[in-house]
Amino acid sequence: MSVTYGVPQEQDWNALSDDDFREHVRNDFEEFYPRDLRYPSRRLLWSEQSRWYLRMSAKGWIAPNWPLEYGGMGLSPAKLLIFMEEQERCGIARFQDHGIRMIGPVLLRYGTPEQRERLLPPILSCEQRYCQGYSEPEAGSDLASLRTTAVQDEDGIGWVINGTKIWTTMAHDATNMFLLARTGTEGPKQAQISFFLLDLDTPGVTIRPIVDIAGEQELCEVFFDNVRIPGENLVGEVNQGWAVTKSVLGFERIHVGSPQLPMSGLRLLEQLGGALNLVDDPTFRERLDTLRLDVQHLSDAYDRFARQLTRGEALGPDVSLLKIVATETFQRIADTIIEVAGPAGAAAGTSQLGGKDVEILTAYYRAKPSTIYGGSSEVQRNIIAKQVLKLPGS
Amino acid sequence: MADELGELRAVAREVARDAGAGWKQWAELGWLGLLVAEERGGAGADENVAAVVARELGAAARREPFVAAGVLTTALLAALPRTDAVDELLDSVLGGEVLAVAAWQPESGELPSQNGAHDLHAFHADRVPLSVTFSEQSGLTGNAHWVATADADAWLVAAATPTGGTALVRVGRDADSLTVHPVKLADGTTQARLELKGARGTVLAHNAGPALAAAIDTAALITAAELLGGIDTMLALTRDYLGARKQFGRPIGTFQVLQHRAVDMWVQQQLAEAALDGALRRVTVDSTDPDIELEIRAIAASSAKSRASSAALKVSNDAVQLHGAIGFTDEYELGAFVNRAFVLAASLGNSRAHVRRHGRLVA
Repeated sequence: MSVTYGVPQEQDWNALSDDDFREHVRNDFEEFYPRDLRYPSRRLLWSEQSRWYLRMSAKGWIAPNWPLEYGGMGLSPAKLLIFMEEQERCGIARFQDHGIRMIGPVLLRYGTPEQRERLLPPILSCEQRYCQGYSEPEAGSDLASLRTTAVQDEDGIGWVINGTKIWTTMAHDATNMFLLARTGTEGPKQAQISFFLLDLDTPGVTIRPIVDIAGEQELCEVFFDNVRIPGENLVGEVNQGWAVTKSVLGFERIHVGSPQLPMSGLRLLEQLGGALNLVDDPTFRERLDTLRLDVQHLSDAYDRFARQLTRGEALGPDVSLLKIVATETFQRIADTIIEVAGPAGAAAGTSQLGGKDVEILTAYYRAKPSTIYGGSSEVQRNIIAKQVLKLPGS
Repeated sequence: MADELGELRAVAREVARDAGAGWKQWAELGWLGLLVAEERGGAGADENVAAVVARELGAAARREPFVAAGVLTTALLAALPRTDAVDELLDSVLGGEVLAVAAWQPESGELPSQNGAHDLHAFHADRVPLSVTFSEQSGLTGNAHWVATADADAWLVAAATPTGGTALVRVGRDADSLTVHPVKLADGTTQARLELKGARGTVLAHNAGPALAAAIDTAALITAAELLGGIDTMLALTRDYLGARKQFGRPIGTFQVLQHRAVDMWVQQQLAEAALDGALRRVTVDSTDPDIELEIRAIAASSAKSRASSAALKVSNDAVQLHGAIGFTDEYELGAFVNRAFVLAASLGNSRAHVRRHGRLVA
């Protein structure tokens, strides 16, 4: 290898016991993660959180899921899960880490040696931070109907992109995008799509942030007007983009079902119950006790899939269970917080109740999109109906 | 381990679905003493094994009191200090000759530590709520409710003693000063209320509180497995029906509204299974402190039983709805599972009681 990727690891993490590894990671996060950035109620801008992730980069911990030889931590599935759990437990805000989570694994599987050498180091250093260009105005749940086109340029080497992406999380704060675009007209819709990488500074790209109902600007619409992409930024073969996308979803699919977000909601509900002196109120107790067991059983289900990964087994379509249960449980908790708050149920941000700081709508605004993004609850149910229960197709 | 359980599951499935094989055959297979040590005449197995058997019995909607007599009674007797009376009774229960069930519940059906009346943060194994009293002078007095079957040969009555202990007294079916009031249940089986007015019996133990508490929680946990078996079958019946039944010229399983309801049934099944698995993992880890072990068992049992009970009732309800009118008939097999689910969900603490207790124990 002519390029050195990242920095060497302090030790072989997989040689530690799970408990020792967890303790090591936890202690590090607890000691060094900035207090003022814990459990933010919105997505942070890169400028707000760069001090943490540049530290992680310098420490060699920026890419826990990548192999050692490419500058990652080389963690086994079990250790990786622990690492992510501890990040969430400590309330560490995520950055635009699609480069780490998606592009690294994609390039290791489909990239050329030239692409890896050129594209992986700036991801490790956080110079290049990717957003995900999938959804379009006319292609949400039906992603394969996307209309953005990529046409070969005059020289037959580069590509010219035209179209629109939407609901692109934090595009205005990212430097690069990976996107799916239509490159063919023959055969099934899924076999006409290719996977491209784009520098967002390229002429012809316009980014328009969208204000959401929480008042935040986290989603964007991105327009492409004759945007030129060099040929070397096509990943995989032409018209292979659908397979490229699907190949790296394994770990994401368990992670979206992590019990950590519902647990954070439970903590907010408990704080609210404390502030309002409801600990002995039988109705409040019953709701809290029920939700607590809902989260417990989500954790039990999550643990079973985690053990499956740890044993080296691939996850099946039944892992959609976790996304359905995690997001809908989180929403029930969020709804309960609003109801319990009574007259304070409309308070935005942090407010004062019973002399204590509480957050009322924070959980709702975090929970509501979760049943929509990453394949809505309804799409997840379609997957289970067809692929797990094998119900007849329409 | 997983392979052994798989083999056991296959055998249990066949036996459970064989209408000709009953209590006697189950006794011969060792099913009535799965949790009893081998030197006491049991199978020396753990809760994982008992759960596999119970799940298959539930999947076949068997109505015999497997958990009450084959799990709770035998686990309770095996945990008592050994005496000739205990050994003799345990032998005859394991052999299937005597059907003995425990009787202890007050009318409220309150579980140990359910309401946190004593100390919110401690599990009181020796304080199983009782409604019968016992003394050498006046015998057993009071009413024991929700006794698992009215057809038992012997009752094991747990009663409060004047010194604050929990006595366990064996009372014969036809003992004097005992009136058995049968209660008919949804699945055609019976429960009993025992009215005791100075009844006499054989004292098996003077301080059976912790053993009784542990046996109740073990029984609640294994009941969760039996409920899960019923859920398995109701889901399978519904899935098959959605594929076979045609209306408007196509299988009704092609309609998305029905597909999503079927998925919701499946979600409940998965949660009940995950909750049971998690509970089994926690109770089969050895702990050195018996008090902590009892508390872990109580938390685990409440977690599994609360979910299994609520999931079974939801799945029953949806299964009937998705079947339409045929699902409400006595002749179609679904009804047996629906009625069995009512019985098992209410037994040894329903979902709400266990949710409440779980909240008390983990808060």
